[in-house]
Amino acid sequence: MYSPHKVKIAVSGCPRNCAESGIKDVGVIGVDSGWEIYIGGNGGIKTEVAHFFAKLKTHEEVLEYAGAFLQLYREEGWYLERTVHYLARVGLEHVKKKVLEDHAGRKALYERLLFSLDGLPDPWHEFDKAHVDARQFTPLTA
Amino acid sequence: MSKQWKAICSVADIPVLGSRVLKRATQPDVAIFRNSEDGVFALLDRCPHKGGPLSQGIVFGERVACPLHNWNIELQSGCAVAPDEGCTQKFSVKVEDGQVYLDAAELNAVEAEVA
Repeated sequence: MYSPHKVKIAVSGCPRNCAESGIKDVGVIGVDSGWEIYIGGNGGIKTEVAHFFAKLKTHEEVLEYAGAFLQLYREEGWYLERTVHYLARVGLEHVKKKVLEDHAGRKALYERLLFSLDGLPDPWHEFDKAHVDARQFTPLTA
Repeated sequence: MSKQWKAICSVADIPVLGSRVLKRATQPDVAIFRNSEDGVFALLDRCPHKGGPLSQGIVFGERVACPLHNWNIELQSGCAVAPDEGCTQKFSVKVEDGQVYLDAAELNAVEAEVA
């Protein structure tokens, strides 16, 4: 997935947040009644806490909302601008308008992301298609 | 004294810019590399720095980069590239008719730590 700069994503299964979703470009935390999405975090030397973005019921919604945000970032972000800088420039309200309030727009964003990823093989599950030679994991004996 | 060559695998069994690991009975593993020119090299699968698995390193040119701390090891000599110092054991390789052979005596020898 091409993007203006690297994106780091995390998903934690519960509020203990072992995956540290709070400092990721897109962080997901499982809570009692669904999933919370946080955006625009940054680890490293200048640590930035991600902004709470949405609370969603299903994991399909998480994919759609996270995907829509990533696509918006891909289309509007400047080259080498991390999501934290992108958000600071355009404002969280702008992103909320485009992703949370504009339902048709959100779906269209998500569709555009899926279109650009269409046909790409998953190197974890499609060894042959992704040209991963699985023999490297099998030792030889003399 | 002529060398005894042990057949190990075919060159095609080794992923390009990758490696296969040869397990030995009581000795540490041997990593067998294949570079982009189909050159085949064999080194002890232990980086001279902190013992990292060279077989899981990035192969480029005639070198491999250790995945732990990025020491570049020359595949021909088993020695680290400056400014790093240290060598790991290298094994003689013969490629004949697309088959890879290693020196049987070297494979069976008790490991001698190379400084």
